[in-house]
Amino acid sequence: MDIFLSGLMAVTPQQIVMWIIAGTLIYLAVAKDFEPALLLPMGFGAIMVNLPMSGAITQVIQGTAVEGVLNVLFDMGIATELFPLLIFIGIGAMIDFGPILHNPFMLLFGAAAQFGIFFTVAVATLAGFSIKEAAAIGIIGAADGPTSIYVANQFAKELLGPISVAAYSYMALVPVIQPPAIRLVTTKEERQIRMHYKAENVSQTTRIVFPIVITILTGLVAPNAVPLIGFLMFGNLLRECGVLDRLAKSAQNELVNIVTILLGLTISTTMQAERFLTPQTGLIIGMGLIAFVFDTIGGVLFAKLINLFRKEKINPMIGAAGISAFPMSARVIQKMAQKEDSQNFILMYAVGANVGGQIASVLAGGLILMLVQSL
Amino acid sequence: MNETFLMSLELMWRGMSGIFSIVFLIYLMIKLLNKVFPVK
Repeated sequence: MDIFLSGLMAVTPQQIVMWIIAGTLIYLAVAKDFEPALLLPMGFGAIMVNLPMSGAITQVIQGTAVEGVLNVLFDMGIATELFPLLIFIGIGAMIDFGPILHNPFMLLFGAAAQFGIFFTVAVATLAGFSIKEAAAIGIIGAADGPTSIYVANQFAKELLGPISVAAYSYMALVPVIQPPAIRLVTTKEERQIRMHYKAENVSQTTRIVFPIVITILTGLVAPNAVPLIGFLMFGNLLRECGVLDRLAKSAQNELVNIVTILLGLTISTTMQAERFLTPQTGLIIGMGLIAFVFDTIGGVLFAKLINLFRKEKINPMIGAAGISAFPMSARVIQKMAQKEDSQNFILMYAVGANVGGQIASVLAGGLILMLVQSL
Repeated sequence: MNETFLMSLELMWRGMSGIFSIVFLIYLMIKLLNKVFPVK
């Protein structure tokens, strides 16, 4: 009988707290539809790794290490960066770069809205984190889960759990975080600025050449960004080449779905109570919010700066759509614009900035990897 | 001042200028692609 009770007797209060956190993640995924594809596997995995003597993670039994399946998956898919990169192929196959190709100006907003990353790095150093840990925390502001995991895994493996939870939670909370941040730095008149959209087509050749040229260009300037941008652009080439529809569909569906399940479950190995329940976790969750808020503010202020030099004014809310959370951020901006003026349709511009944010966030990840190592 | 904080400010300057430079190159590249391969 004792053998069956040994697990129950070994439960620690910290593990019970982790069960509650895991339950919250599952609740947010199921009841609130917050990034369910990632938060549900992470929540369930967090339960599995926080059971006493869980066989899902590596345990030392009588001096011998018995490998757990989640640790095997972690070593195979996250320590090697494989899972986040494979997800990028799928994301690339899903993105239509059309809005950027016929209005490349919107790319600049994608760049401006990465400001939150670097602002948060500075805040994190003031909170006592090393520059590498701060960079891993700041990258939550990329608003892009795979990029956050990719960078955090290289700079601060021990912080991967809280960084992943913060990145995916705040991505889901974009409709809650962005509107007040935008209102803080814009006037009602600015939010009512109308922008007239002229639909233009882009040639098929441009769509095919674009991912190839961007990979070469970025690779020459920022070699560390090649895996991130290269896998993203490869996925997009599958989509646009016109002769690999079957592979493009597999990348968009089967590949992303399978890797997402494995990524979510595997990330949970970093959510073991003794590693997760630290004061640092609270700080990281708080700084993730700062990153998202200052991304938004950075994008809006950049749009206002551009307006000083333009005859035809831009609705500054477009700048806030320059984050990578696609298409949620663009939808939030359109909703806000229509709330101020029911006849204002800025969705296509917002989508352009949002797609620009996807490219810029990946670039930011690559640049941070390169620059931090050179500091 | 905290040396790590100064490093983070340098990272901010180099990071933001780096992103804007690459994005501007991409902007020019797209303009060029649209010129070279117009819609028929």
